[in-house]
Amino acid sequence: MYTAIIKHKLRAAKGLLKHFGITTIGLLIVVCYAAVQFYIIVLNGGIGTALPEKYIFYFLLACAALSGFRVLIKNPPIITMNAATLHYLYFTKHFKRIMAIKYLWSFIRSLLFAAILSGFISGFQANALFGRYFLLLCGYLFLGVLLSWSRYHSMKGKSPLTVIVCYILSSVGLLTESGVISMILNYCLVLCWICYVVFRLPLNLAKYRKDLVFIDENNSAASQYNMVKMSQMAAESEAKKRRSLFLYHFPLKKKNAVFYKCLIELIRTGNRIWGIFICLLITGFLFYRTPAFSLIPILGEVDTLASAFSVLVVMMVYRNVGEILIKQAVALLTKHKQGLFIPMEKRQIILSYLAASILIFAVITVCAGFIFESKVHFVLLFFALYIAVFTVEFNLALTESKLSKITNQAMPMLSIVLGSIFLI
Amino acid sequence: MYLQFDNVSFSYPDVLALDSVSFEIDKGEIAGLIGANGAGKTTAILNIIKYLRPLSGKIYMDGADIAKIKNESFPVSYIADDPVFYDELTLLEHLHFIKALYPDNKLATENLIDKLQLHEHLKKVPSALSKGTRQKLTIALSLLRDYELLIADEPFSGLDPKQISIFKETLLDCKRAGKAVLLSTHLLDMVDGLCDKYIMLNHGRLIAHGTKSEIIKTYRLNNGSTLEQVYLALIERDE
Repeated sequence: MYTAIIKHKLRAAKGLLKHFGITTIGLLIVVCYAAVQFYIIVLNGGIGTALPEKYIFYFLLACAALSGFRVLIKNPPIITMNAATLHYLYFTKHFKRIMAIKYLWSFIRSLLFAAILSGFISGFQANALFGRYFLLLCGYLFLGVLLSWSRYHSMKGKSPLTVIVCYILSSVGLLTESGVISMILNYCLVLCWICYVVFRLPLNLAKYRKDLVFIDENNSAASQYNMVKMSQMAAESEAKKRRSLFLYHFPLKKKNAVFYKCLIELIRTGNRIWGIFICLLITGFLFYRTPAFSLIPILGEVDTLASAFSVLVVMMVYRNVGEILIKQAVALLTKHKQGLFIPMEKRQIILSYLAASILIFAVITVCAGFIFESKVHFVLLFFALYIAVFTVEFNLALTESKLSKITNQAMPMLSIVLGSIFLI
Repeated sequence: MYLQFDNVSFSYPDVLALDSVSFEIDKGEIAGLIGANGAGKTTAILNIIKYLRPLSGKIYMDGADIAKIKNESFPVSYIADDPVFYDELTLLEHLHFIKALYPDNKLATENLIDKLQLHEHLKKVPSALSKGTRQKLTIALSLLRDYELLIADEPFSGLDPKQISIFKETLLDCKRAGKAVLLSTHLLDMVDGLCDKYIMLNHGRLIAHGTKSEIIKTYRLNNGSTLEQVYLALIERDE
């Protein structure tokens, strides 16, 4: 019976490796390289050199943030299995064994993660500093897993007060004392929560099964390289998300309805997309303002190249936001042309979209100005020129002019040229 | 009575899904759980299979509160409306997997393959099967388990007329073997005449319970009414 489950897992892993192996390894190398660079150059750490005290605090703060995300925000379950395993094994003696293995595996993962983090803190030396942070983090991270698992199965759909209180207590202990007291506190809490999770926690199996089915379908589509299904599932999942911001929350008038619609559409583009944009801005910041990537051959050694690369990365955000805005406007105007009743002229719709675009680009420009520490008048000059260029591109795209193909090719180059104003 | 719902209520954060529902099912009986979408059928089933816990009221199986029956000895087999499989295991591997879990079930895998006409699909993985064949596989897997109560949630979806006939025959076999069967559906013509009794739900409330003739008599409906006419008349009165 267990052979069949292992066989299934191996086959699924084989499919994933076949289709995503090279990408994953490449990504892993890049992430590891960036982490090591950050560790050595920004944090002044290294093998045999422990981190300075102030950076240890930031390290622990990052751990608290990660744990906070898992405990208070993360929606998918922290412990997963195949939906079929739950369905077919729940009424057998094997289910308890599988759950025990899952809890044990979560603990081992916390153990490994704590070892890596403590290694970074102590400079990968087997000393008291390593031992202290290893014990502290191991308990803290595993407590995070237990709290997250308990919150997930909460029937009321929100975090129970006890989970929040325990998270705050352990995090405050981790960040303020980081010693014997917080270690004792963490392990006492871990013991209490283990007892609760193993003996008392009523699993919300209806919700768990639904989430496992979704995860399974995703994994299966990935393993079989079914990109159509994957993107369809992502779109469906995005559509099912609970929205907190609606059009009627804005002071709607006939004149501003399209403007707010554009803003809401842009916000709902998806957390991942906005996450990528924020990462791009942070990368630009790290390249331009810190020596984090100075060990990268050529790019890190020549300042001008690093600056140009930063501009390129930041301008990618402008280009992609622009693309999204243009696509949305084209979609709305096409529907309008096909008969969708919007009580305003085409010109007014375009002006509403342009107004929303100006607002969004203004926000990004403030961030870019901060990244490049540019003078205000140069920021304003860039903004005026970029809006002018974007307006031309926007209008050409809407009129489906032949010129739009040329601008499509020329705009990325022109954007980088404009972006260089930040460096003056 | 084998399964007894005693004033069971269940509520999701934003909706009352079951409102003091009571009914019974005996062994050797097929009961139809009837209701529109959102009537509370699946919630009732999820409460029976212990995926959800009643907010109030109790569910008894063979006289014992199901909350006190150990999962390992819980004699229920469940055909879900959204069947789940191991996507990398073949149909035959699935059958062997369940057979290994329940070696005491006397039903032979080969007989089941014959009965449900699964021969040509044995080496296929679930994603390569048609909806009907996937449904037949989930039925086969449910029958291979040790159970006294078989619960089927919308089991007819995806089945063609021949497959429906085979499945109905399978349910009658279960009945003849003394098992209790709970059949949830909104396709009323499929179960008209098949079930021994009907449990009709509307917005989480039990609106009728009993054999078709008992319901017609109790609510003074036309004698020749179809199940669909009976149900529509009852929900009209309820609303």
